[in-house]
Amino acid sequence: MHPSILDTAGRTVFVPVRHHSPACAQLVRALAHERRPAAILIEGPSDFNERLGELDLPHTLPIAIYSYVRLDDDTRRGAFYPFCEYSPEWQALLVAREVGAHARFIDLPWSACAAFRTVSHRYADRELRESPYIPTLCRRLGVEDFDSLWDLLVEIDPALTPAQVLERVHQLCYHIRATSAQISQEDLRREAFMAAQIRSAQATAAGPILVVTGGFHSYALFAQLNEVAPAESDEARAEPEETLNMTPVEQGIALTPYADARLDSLTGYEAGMASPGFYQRAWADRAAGRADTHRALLAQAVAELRRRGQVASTADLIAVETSARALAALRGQPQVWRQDLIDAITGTLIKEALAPDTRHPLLDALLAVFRGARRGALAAGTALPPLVRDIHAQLAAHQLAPTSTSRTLRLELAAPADLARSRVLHRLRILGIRGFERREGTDWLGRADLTTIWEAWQIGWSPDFDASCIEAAIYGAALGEAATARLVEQAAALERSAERAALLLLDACLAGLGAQAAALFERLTALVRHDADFFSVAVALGHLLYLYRYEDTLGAVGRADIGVLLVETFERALWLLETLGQPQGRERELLRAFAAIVQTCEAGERLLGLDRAELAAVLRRAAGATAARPLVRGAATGALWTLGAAAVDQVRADLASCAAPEQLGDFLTGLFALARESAQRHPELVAAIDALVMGFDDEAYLQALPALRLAFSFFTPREKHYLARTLLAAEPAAAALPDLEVGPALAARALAAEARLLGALARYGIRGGPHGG
Amino acid sequence: MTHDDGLAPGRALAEMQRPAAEALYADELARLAVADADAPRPEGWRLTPRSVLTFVLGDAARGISAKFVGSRRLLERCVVALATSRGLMLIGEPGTAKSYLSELLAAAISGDSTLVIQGSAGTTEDAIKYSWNYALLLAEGPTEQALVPAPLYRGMRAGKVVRFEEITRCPLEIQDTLLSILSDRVMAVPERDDSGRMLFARVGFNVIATANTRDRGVNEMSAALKRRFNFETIPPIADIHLEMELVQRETERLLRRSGVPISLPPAILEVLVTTFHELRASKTADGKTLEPLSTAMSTAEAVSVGYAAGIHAYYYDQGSVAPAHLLQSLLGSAIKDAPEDRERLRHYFNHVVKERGGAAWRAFYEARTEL
Repeated sequence: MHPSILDTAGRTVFVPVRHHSPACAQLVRALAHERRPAAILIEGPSDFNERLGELDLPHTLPIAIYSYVRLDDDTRRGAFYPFCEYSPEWQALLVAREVGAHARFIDLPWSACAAFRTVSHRYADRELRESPYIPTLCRRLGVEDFDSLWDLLVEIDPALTPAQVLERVHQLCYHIRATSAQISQEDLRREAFMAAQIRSAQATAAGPILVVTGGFHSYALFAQLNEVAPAESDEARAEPEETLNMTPVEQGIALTPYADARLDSLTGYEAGMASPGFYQRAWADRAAGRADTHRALLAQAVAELRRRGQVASTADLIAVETSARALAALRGQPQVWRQDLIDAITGTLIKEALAPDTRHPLLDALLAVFRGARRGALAAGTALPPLVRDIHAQLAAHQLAPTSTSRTLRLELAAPADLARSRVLHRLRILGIRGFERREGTDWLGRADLTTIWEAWQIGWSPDFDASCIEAAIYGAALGEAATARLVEQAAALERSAERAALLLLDACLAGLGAQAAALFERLTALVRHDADFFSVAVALGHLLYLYRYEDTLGAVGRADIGVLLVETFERALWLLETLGQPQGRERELLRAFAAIVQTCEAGERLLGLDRAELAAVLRRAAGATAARPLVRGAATGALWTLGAAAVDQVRADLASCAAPEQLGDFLTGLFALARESAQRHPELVAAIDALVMGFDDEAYLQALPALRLAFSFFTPREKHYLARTLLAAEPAAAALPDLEVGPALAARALAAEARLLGALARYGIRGGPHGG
Repeated sequence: MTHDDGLAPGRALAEMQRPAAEALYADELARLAVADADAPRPEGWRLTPRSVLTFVLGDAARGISAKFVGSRRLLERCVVALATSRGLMLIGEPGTAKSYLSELLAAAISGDSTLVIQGSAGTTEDAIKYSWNYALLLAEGPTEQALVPAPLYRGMRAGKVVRFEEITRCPLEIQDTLLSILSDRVMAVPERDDSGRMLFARVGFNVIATANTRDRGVNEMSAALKRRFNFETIPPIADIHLEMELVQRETERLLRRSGVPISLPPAILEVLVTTFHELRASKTADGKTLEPLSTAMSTAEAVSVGYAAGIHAYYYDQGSVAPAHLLQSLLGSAIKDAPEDRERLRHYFNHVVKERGGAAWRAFYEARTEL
């Protein structure tokens, strides 16, 4: 590392920061006050420069700058630059005003970056986290992970001077950069752009310049401007250029409110410094010269615990305090910090086994305090967030604007204009915008009547309308993008449920979303994989099959991403089919599940390459499992028969293995439910059943009878008549059964009688009418 | 290190089936103690808390071997619990190296890991506190000489860490023997006269207990006793690569000790550890949930399966370990006699193993007829 990067007396001072680091924010302030620069150049979207004044208004933090684009395939994407009070970039803006420096953002506009597809948090620190240097350094310093390493090196020690902080961050980032296997072309382009901005400022500014950027970029900028060798090797810069396969056709940038909770929830590529509640407090305490941050936060956590009905006694608190201080000492820290408190509570208060991915409620309360609960708000007079403007524009374009008297709107989804309106309404519903409610319409889940696809919405102005629009602005700049983000968030909040995943997908289809939501599909796939409940997976299978195969109106038919999810669900269903055990009282669901599996295989075999042989193997094992319920075995046999994977001899063999009086009816129920057609076409099966029943003595017959009745109720009267004829034909002594003659009048009378009967049942609340069990 | 068994130290160590940690790592402990010099530490400790961590987790630069695979944070919490004079309770599934960790901690802190009480349904107060040499008792009365100290008594007297293994297997009233000792740090010996009636614990005394979550569980402990312990859950090894390294190292060590000059080929090792890892976590590498087995499928069991497979291959199959050997010893040792586990294992084969590529996985699948 070239030593002069540490020189803070030169014309251009490079201030390396980690975004959302209070210590770096303090460093920026200290250097600005020391040097009184003419200009402060900040890593931020340069297309916001003309509107920097908007940031001076009295906003309530956290807020974010939103940059959004519309691409040539008409999708919209957005990225955000969030600011908390302790953000180095925010403090740089503030201190520029205090010392009379000219502040400017110098980063490439987001719309010129190639990363639309992946990263939408522009102040994430992926480069720092992913470096191979970090694990080595962690081991050397005896800390567990990057966040602890950063805290130990930079945040915790209040006695560190600005010069020390500057040197530590430069050293850390230099080594991260020097050990990087690859620097992305996008980073190089951004750095070239930033270097050009710095050069032009050097040409015009009449005094020192502070350059506040992510530490990862500081040395690269320094090297370019001073013509010294960069930290990384030449090979690391040799990555082929990423092509922008999508071109923005429209772009914009605006302020929007933000929230602690959202900042804290970022993970993976998007991850930045978590725990905004903790660092806000640490920042405020440092500024006030207080060193008892952990005690204040502990008090808050205890209040939170008590609010949740948990007890934390004085003795417990003494133990936590002692333990936290001992941990800080063991870790070589001058002050108790975030992880020490977490560990102290984990160690002293939790008296049971912690499962790897479940957290204890006490710990949850502490983490809630660390997460923070602030929600940002834009100052009066700020332009409304882009989402709010987009919502107004969409409502106006589709004549959906809420009026003070509420109205009902009926939409026929087959009409393109109505479909578009329905999609806007569903997006609003997903975002929880007040005043729009779907009252009734096509039942997508029961799918009993799909003759017309329609909806009725209740639309009316609600006093919460504007507030809910602004609140939703944290999800994105445009309605579609925000609704997608909200769905992804909902999916992330679920743990495992294929059924709920399918409902989310239905929501996405109703709102016309999802074609671009790779993250949503990834999450839905995970939900299906995690689900261990056969019935939930089977229900999801039914929904997905319907969407993929039949749902024309919403444009879901044949969508490749739904197909992939369908395959995943199908495979999961086969997987769980064998671990079914002995489900009691869920016979109907079970038979529906088998039917859904067979239908999916038949419909998807050619289109999706589903493996019929695999299904047959699973069903074969299920049919042969002597420990399984006869109903399951019968259904498996029936499914095999329908799929053409079992001959009638095999069916008779399976029948023979479930021939006991208490089993026969259940077996046949399963068989008939799945192979109703085949059963009628094979008189030898009827004869075999007949032989079995004739072999029962009176007691056995009475035992078998109720289940047998249920089994044969799967056939219509005409089918039963046909079966009876087949049976009698084989019996030479029996008289032939007369033809079943049913005239229209008789049929009408029968229907009317049945309707009266069901009506009576429903009226007295007995087994709930036509849909009852 | 007071192992007086009449043999020269080097030979004694070599002939011991399983030497205690403080004997096995005497050199490392000595070097750490020298390096610690006069650095401040909790009273009665041989090493500073930082050196205790280094001893357990290892430090390649200083020639200290890594002995335990686990999170540093967890270890820090364990050490702090002991340093702040709270009892330490290590809980977890069987085979997660709880006892080994307690041994390492005791060796590092007190230089003696042999003060062990083995908890069982038959553990009595005698085996915990003290009993009497009845001949001397009759001859001399309740004197110092007549008293036969049990581990707790010895630990208190010498200011050392006492290990209480499988504490939840003891009856509640026996567990509660620890109550007053942990809070007041004093043991009453009512039989003795005034000078010996109270045994006050010397500084450095503490208790590390272990409990198995598959046994009767910590929920049956009295709340009073729970309060006197800090609980730490020792999780199974989360990182499959670390687990592979550990299983490789340990099986090789066992095979070498049995004079079997073979090692598990990497492909076999991968099959073994992946299978254990996935069945234990009830989740496949690509995130599909499995039905949990009733067996813990611990790393220790993976080691013994790998070891048994190696022995089998060496003596009966010309020394080349095949996946079929793994399955045989898996069925013999880990799955034991649980038909439903066998069923779940079959399911795992039909849906997971079947889909895996690579010769070893395919051979493993072919071996399923053993099921």
